[in-house]
Amino acid sequence: MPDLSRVMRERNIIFVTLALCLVFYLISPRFLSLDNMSAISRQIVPIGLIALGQFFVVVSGNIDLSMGMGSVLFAIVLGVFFGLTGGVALGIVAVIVCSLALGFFNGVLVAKLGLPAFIVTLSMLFSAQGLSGLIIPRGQQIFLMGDFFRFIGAETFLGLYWSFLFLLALFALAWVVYNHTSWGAAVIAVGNSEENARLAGVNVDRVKIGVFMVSGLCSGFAGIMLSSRMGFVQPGLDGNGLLLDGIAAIIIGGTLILGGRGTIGGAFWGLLFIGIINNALNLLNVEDVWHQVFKGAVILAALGANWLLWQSRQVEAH
Amino acid sequence: MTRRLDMHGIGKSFFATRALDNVDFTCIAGEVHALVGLNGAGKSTLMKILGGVYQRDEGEILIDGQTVEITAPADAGRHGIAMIHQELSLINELTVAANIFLGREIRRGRTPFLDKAGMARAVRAQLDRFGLSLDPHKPVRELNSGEKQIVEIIRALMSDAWLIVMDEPTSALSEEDKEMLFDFIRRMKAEGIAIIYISHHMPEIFSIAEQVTVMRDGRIVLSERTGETTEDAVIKSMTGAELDQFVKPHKQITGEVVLSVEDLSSPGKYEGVSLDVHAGEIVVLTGLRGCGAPDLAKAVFGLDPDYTGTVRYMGRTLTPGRGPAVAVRQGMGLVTENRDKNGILPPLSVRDNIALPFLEKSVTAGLIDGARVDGIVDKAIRDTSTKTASPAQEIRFLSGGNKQKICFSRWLDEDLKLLILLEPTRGIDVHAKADIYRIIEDLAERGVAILILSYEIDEVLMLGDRVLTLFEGRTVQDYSYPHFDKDRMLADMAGAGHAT
Repeated sequence: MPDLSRVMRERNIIFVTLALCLVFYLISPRFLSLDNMSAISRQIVPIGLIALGQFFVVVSGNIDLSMGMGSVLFAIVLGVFFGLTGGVALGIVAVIVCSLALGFFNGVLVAKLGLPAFIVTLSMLFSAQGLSGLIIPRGQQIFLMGDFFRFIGAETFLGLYWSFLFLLALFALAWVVYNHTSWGAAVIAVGNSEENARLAGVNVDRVKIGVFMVSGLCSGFAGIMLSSRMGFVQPGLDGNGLLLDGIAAIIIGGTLILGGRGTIGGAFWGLLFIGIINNALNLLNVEDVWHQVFKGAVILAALGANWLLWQSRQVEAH
Repeated sequence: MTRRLDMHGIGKSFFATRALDNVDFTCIAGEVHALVGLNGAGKSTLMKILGGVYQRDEGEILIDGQTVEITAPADAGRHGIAMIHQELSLINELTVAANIFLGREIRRGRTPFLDKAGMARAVRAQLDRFGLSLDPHKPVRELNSGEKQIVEIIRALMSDAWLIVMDEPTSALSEEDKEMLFDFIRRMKAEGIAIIYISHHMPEIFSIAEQVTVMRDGRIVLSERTGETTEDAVIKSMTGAELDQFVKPHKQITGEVVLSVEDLSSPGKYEGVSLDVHAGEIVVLTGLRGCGAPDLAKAVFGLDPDYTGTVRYMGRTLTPGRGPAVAVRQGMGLVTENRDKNGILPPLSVRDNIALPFLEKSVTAGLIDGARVDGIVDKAIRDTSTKTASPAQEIRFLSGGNKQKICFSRWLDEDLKLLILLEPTRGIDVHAKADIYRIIEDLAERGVAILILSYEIDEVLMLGDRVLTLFEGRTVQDYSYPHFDKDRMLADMAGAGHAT
């Protein structure tokens, strides 16, 4: 079957991303200003967290559709605790516990009952959406103010946002776990062939539950980051847009949607690619309705050209 | 002490069928023991008992003189017995070393981090020990099938296997890889590993095995040192002394030439093959797995763009690789060897599976004529005596034999001129087999030219008006009914007389 990840393995994503930067720069020089770069770095944090969690789930041969609405729900959990206590510590503990629990629940249904991840996490998506609206009625919101949210949302260190540094640290951690622990190898093995992995002695169920707990936790973190940046929470946040951007990032970064293959580095470049498009279209004042159309067109043009180029090279190599 | 495996008086029945009857089998460390027999002779049942997949009804298994119980595949592993299957069980996306250590990785001290260098070193040490060179850091997907097989064996050896069972290991290998594998096997012998080698390939058996055992109808019929027997004796005992009597009526082939293949070659698959198939004639290609016959048949169906030579069909020369869509329009049909993968569409109904190739022809005014399709489907189900609850039944719930009949029934319309069948009775029961043979004979009667690939000698003899034996992509012999010679055909297939 056509294999996007092979295209991306050629490191073309780096050139495509840089070329995209050049194009946007030529249209609007402001694009490459320090201020804007730093804005991009902050905007991509929630998407990056979704992408990172989704990465492990997808490599294991599954998918977690509940990540986007899950992060909205967790943002609301944080907001409710903030509203009740005026502090954040308890709220963060609650988000971590809830997000791990959601992931565990997803994982158990997939691993132990053998239900397809698509079905399990799709119903979780709707449940999370419903719960969010139950906790805070539509049209209302909770404002988040205080040192913590300012720190996460706006403080910098050596010119870099703390939230972006947090994301970088998590990517680094993920790289180590994926490439240098037996768990990483087990995730790849399960994504390639559950049966063969099982025969080799891999505890397949535990790997599946594990990846969903990772994606759950990542959506919890994404909820915290999202709400801190916005300064308020409400159930109408576009969780599914976040989810799709996250999935797009890892696929653009060369992760095989069917599982079994992908790199953390590729996922990071895919994330930059998505982040740059989102930012540039805002910067260029593209009308909201056209924003998505252009995004689709850019992804299709950049990746399609890349794919065709790669194919013609394959033919020559024969 | 030399390690040894003894299987004593092994018996096994499946319902009324006696699959194994009082089988004795011994294997000694440092030797290769070749196990030979036709399909259904009981080889794989015996090996599945050894591997813990089946449970024996009678007899005992001893390792180094001690009785052992092998009731699950894990037991076999614990006793140092490893099965290397044709479908390899590696993870393509992981490296050689990661595959070998999957599930029991080496870590750096007490940290959770992998000791990749240490694992690579251990793998390299094993490879060196057997004179092999492979990069432990290479992803398995970049290896060829010979190298993959080696990785799988090394993995077994590194989990302390002393007895390796190899099931037709060379069937998918190039000449070069075969040499590499044989070298490896010789070194394993020198290191005191015992090997059970399932194969029909006579030159291979006589070049690497110390002992050869032949099974037929669930019994051991010959077990000798290879130095004390001959290829002929082995082949004779495979088929049995009594020659089957064929009652195939002699057919006068008078139809025109439908398919004419001349000097067809495709690199690495087949070479210089020529054959004619007349209307109403059944031509059978046979050989061992890897003999190139399926590729040849697929080339005729337009699936190989790279052959040289000519394929003439109904008097016209065909373009290589023109694709199945064109072939079907020209009146060809193909029943693939793997019906679950390339034959049926599992989630669809029986009706939709049968109707697929007819849909284009059943269109009136832009819409599919449902009544006409139903008619075709009902007739096809009747003609093939397919057992299905209704045409709306999902095909995946049918038995193997009934699925196969549906793969056939797709092609039963009047436009069919040439039908290509790859292993038409693979994995189906006796009754369904009889139905399939009847369908094939009926089609030939109707004047359809039929080209069959079969690996089962009795089927070859029963169906063929003409039989071509192939060995490593080349025609060995062309037989016309009634001048069939079962022993010579088997010898052709096994490459008897060829040096490896």
